[in-house]
Amino acid sequence: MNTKLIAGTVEMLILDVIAQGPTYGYEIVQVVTERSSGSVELKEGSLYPALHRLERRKLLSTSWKNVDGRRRKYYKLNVAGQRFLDSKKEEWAQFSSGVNGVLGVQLGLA
Amino acid sequence: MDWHNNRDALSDLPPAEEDEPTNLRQDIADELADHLDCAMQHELQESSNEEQARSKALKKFGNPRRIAAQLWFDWMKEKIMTRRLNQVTTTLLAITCVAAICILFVSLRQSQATNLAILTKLEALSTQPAATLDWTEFKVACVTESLAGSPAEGCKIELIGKAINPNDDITLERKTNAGGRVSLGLIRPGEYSLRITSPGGDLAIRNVIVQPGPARTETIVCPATLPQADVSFEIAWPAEVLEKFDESSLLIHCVFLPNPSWYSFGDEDWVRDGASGRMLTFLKDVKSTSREVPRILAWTH
Repeated sequence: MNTKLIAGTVEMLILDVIAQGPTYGYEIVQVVTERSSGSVELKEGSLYPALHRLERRKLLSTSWKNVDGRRRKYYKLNVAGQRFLDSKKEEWAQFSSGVNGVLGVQLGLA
Repeated sequence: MDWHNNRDALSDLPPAEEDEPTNLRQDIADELADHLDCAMQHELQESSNEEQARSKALKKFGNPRRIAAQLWFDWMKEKIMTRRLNQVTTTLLAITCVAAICILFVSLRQSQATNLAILTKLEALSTQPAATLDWTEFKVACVTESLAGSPAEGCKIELIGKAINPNDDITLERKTNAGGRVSLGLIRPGEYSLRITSPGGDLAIRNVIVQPGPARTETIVCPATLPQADVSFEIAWPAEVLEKFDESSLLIHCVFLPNPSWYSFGDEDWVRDGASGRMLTFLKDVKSTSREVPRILAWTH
């Protein structure tokens, strides 16, 4: 999928995956790919900057765990993050509904 | 493969900053290593070749060094910008301080130069009293017969009057020099009478108002001193006198009266000295001035 289309929704997608429960970077990529049936693929170059940005904005809580002898960083959605995610979803619903509406009219004309 | 010991991802990062969180670099390296580890494990499920799996995982991941540098900068951006802003502010403040000190120094120098110039002027003014406002140098020049005439030496100049402030009575007396000039020195502003007595004894009075300002010179045109002349009396004694006295014992008393007693000359009205009459005693053949008309009042012996 066009990366420009994904760019505006990366944070929302990440937050929604994390909302299911504490998770880590690689798993987020896998879940997004799986849920979108491979149509949305998060690049690491945009995933981690977005994760860290959300962490700095205190929308995510983080913790480290030792897994198979290596450190792994887990992200968890906090209350502020949940509110942010809800507002983003609402915005997206309105936006996609509007876009679909426009496209539906155009498609109808065609 | 042990990604956790691979510090290569951090090789593009700048040297550690003072205000950098202690574990930031290690956390970034560990998080990226864990991701790569997971990705490699995933690849190994499809291919047993570790090298191929590693290569695929890295290819999918992108450049770890670039991502690590971006993450580090994102965390440090605010602090770096704040620090740079502080540096710029400090530099500007320092420049402003230096500029202020320079301006202060320059203005101080200018002020000193100005003060020095004022002091020099004041000093010059103090050595040139004629230019002061409180005193005026007063001079008198006397010439004979006309403004183009010769200097009148020996004129007696008297200045009599009152200064305005302080209200002092002033009386000065000087005589003109060979150049017909005399300085009465520094005079305070006021109204004065200038009495001029010519060498021939003629007297004139001029009223002068002295005002603050530069040196002032009053020019007086004096009448010429009349030359002395021999006066001889030839007396024909009356017979009744000669009958009583011996002619050689007889004396005459003469009063020489000016004629006229006052007259105008130059800008002044002159009064001749002795207008009230002067009695002189002459023996026979005595010399006297010829500008006075003798009048014999009495005779005796």
